[in-house]
Amino acid sequence: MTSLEFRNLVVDFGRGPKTVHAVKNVSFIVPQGSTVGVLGESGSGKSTIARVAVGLEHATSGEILLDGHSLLQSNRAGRMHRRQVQMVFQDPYSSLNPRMTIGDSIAEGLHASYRKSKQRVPSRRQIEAETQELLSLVGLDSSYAAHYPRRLSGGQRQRVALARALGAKPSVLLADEITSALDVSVQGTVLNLFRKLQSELGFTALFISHNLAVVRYVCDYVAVMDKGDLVEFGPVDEILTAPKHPSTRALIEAVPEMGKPLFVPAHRGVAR
Amino acid sequence: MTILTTVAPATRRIRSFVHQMRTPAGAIAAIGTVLLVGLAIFAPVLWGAEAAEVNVDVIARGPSAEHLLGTDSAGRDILLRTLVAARTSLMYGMLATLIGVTLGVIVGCLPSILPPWIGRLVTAVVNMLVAFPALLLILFLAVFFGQGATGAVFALGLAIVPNIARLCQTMTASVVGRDFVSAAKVLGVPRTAILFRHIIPSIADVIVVNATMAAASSLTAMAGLSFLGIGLQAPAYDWGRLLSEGLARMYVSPAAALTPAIAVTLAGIVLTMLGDTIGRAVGVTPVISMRKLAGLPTRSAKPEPDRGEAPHPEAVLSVRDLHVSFPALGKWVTPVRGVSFDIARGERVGIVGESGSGKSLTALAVAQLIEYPGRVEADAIVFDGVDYAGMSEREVTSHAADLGLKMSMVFQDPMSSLNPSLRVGPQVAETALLHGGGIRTQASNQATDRLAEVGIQNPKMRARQYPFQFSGGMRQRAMIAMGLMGTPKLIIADEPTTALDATVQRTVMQVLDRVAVEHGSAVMFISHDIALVTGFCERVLVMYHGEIVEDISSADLVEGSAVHPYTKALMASIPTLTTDRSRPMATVADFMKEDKA
Amino acid sequence: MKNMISSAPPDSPDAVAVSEGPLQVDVVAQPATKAANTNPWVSYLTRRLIRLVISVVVLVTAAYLMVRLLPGDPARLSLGPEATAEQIAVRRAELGLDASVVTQYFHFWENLFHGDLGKSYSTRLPVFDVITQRLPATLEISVMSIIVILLVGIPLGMAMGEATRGGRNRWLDAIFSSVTGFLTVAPVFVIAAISIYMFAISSPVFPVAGRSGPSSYVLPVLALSLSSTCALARIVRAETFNVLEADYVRTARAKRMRKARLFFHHVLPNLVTPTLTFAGLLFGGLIAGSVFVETVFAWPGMGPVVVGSITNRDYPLVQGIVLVYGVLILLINLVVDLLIAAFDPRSRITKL
Repeated sequence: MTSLEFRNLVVDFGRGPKTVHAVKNVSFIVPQGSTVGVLGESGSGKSTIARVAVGLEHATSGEILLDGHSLLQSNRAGRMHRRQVQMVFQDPYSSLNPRMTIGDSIAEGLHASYRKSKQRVPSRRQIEAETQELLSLVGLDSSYAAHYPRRLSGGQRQRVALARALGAKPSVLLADEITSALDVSVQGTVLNLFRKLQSELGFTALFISHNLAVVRYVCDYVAVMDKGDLVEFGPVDEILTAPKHPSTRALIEAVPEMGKPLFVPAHRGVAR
Repeated sequence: MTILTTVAPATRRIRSFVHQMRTPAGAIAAIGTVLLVGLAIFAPVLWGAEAAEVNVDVIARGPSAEHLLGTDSAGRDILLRTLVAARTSLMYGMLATLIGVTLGVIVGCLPSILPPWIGRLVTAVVNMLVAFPALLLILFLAVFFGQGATGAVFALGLAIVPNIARLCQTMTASVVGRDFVSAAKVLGVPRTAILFRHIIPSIADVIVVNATMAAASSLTAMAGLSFLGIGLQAPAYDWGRLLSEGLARMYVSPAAALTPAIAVTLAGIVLTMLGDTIGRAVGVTPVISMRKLAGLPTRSAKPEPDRGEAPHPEAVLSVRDLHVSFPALGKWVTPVRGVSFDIARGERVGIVGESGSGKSLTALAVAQLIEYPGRVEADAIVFDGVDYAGMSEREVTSHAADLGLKMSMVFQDPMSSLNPSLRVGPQVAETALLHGGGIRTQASNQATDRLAEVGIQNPKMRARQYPFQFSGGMRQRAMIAMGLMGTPKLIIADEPTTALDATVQRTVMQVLDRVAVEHGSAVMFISHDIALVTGFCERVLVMYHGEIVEDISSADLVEGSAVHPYTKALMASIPTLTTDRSRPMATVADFMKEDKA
Repeated sequence: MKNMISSAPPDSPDAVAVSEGPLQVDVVAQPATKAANTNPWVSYLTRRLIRLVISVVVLVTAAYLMVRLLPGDPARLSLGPEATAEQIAVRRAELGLDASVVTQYFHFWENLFHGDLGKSYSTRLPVFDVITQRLPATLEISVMSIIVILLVGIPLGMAMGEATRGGRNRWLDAIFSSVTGFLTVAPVFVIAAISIYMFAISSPVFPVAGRSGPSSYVLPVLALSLSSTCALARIVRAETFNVLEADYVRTARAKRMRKARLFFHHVLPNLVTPTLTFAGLLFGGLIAGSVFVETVFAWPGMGPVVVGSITNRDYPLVQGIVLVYGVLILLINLVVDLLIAAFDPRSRITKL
């Protein structure tokens, strides 16, 4: 399949003295078929790099390459390559149009991707069949196609969002905090689904999260971002057990871990 | 290409409309609209000739059996003329609305298809025009169109355009910011398709509601122009003209002026109510039918729970059989059902559970902060020796100083929990000012000390700032400082770090920890993060569907000796840094299934 | 500095506030250090005044183009259909219509600065004189109405907001909603007609027409302010509901204070911005309302002039009215913006 490369990516918002440097010269490669986790706090630029890759934000300079082809060009070739990169968003309550049935939402993506790839748009029946296939792929009953999102739970919505993205047959999937809006009890099912889909379909993935344990469970590599900089990149176990950069260390230490007290308890008599 | 249907759930809509029609306002709106439309269609046919009949014998008479509301200066029947005028009044008003709304929607949606810079230009022009009152635009336009119905209709229509356009723009902007539009963009759905499939259906409801309101004001404005003599010209007439004709003879026969005046007002009200009704039917306002709420469900007479015994005398907080209910859609829902627990002095108790499990409501009920129409019932809510269960609002007020000084609350969202219009210092100081003697300088000095205590540097300067000048972590610290103005025996912290990054969370937790130790406060700590709770608290209560299903020490919970299947499932489904990656995550659903089997 | 506080992209609200290690203090931009050099009010006023000037230029240009773009020859229009070609030529020269469009435009500006708005077609009187003679009467009742609207509408709305929030006192709610709903929708001329009937015909308490003595002001001001007062009360009530539901009010209630303090100290400051914004819009509507009120009560203000200018197609007069009312509205908007800036700390510090 395909590898995704970020090369000297810089993203600034605003102009002049008000400029916010959201991403500062970030370079790393997401190897073919692997999952790279992106860890960082809010404002670290972790979501921005994904949004740039799918064309929702503009890069100030640098490149994002899919198998050596630029994703940032606004011509047809750029759009063709961008189509292979799909994204799943954080908030499942905002990522599905409440006025469209689940089936229509998925079908819309199928239509768009057929048209973009210059293939003949298949018949309605074929689209329906593909929609059913996608639903069963994400473990939802085919009857869901006729439902509106309001009847679905957060976890189910996130499954639909995955199905819609997969309808474009992406070679790269960007998952932006896909479990952070969900209750812990539902998180596991979505993570399991993500892993199952990846092993079946073999896509390359960028998994953005602030949750160490989730990143560790899902990812092969991890990129740690801090205030727009990429501070560390490497195999997930290495980074999480032996972080080299102080920001990474601070990040890891700050996350509460089951069975450990948060910190040495404070004692009476601490100076006011 | 096949057309994807984007109609919203039709049956739900219809049901919602039917429901609205049954409310008094909805019924009046519906009946009124039918009457208005009926009059506009049939009145001229039925009475048109009679209303135009000049009768010199009965000029300007008062009400009589033959002419119920009297006659005008040409002896024509006022009632009939008012009825017949429904058509012209309504028609021209609707025509103006149609022109205005159509153009307004087009202008409002243009920026989302046009290149950005043209879009910005359109937006700027619209914003400028909105600031000008409609009359000036009408005046301006009347010069172009000249006096007369056509001119007036166009002028009125164009005067609506800026408002509708601006509404469209703001609504569109809010829809475009939503993830489903981003998702469609990423999938490569063309811009026009996004506009017609995602944006327009999403804003249609609001536009329809506002168009109805605009129709009401167009109707009255058209009558106004005719009234001034710059709308409809004789011999045509509408309510506005009838009113201006009648006004001159007000002293002789008031009905001549009042009848059309009331007609135009009633028509305006019917249309406004129609707009309201449509708005309620498609929209947001929750329907609370108080009649159906007469009976609050009595608490289930189930066998007394395990801790059904008397309130614990030593505990700082002792809650027995707590229920919290709210009215929703004509029924009572009870999100907290029979909760009982104790918190010992200085003890830290965590409450965990999913969203909607009732943890926050339990905290608010304990703090006596559940407001009407919510209801709290309990056998006992004993805080620091005072039982608040069943107290009236006034009785609670008499304990205000106790609650204010001894119980402190740290709320979830630091962004919205501080008053944006007040400086931070006085907000922090307020408790001391209210309950601690009330000397301003002393209170504000104490507030500065407390701000320093929670690790805010330069507290004097910070105290003079407003919340929006604080970062999230600092606001949360200020919230904690606010709770420290007394000597809290209990700190209730409701998801105090949920909106914060891990590193900021850590510092806030350290502040909370130190403060609790120094003041010997007990802590009721609500969170969905079990690792955080077990790391901070000595004991954990697990809530599930409004009930406490597990009361266990943190150590036991971590060790895995939970008893309730939900707790077990929850613990297993949390990924940790030692989770086995070769196997799928255990999920709550799996466990619950096993349990049933 | 203001940008760091307020306008960072959504991704980075805490970007400048991340602390590392135990109890390190958040680092947020330190306000009031750099800004101390230049008074924020000065820069805000400058920018706001520049906007005002631009708006005035646009208004004047539009008013100029309005008459220029009309079909027909202004010279002929001003003389009437019986004028000879010679008369028209003379008038053309008089009006400066032979010069280029650009010259004429600048000439228009020059005249404006001299208070020359041209002559009315119908009465031949200078437009400037007509307006200065008529405007004061209109301003009188308008300013009185504004005072009534604010003094009644705001307290009424807040009191009703407190009394009927969360479904309390449903009867009161129903009465308030229907009465103010009715009066908000009722057009000014209807209210004027009904008030004549009630206070001048049924029980003759107040004079019905003309401006003579204090009692003659009562009905015009009542008719002009009633709808707007109700509209404002409704908006203020809705905003009061919003504020009472806000998280920070819950925080305040957790401090256990008296209701009066909660209301005046915590709720009221947050009502200022929406109330003023809406009130600003209402004042624009008052100008339209005054036309009706003056027509009904034979009030010697601008109303009859406005109506006459349209029925007579008296372009210079219309132009003058548009200019004067336009500038008036721009000034009201300016005052509202400045008031909001003075009362609302957020707009004061972020916008200034």
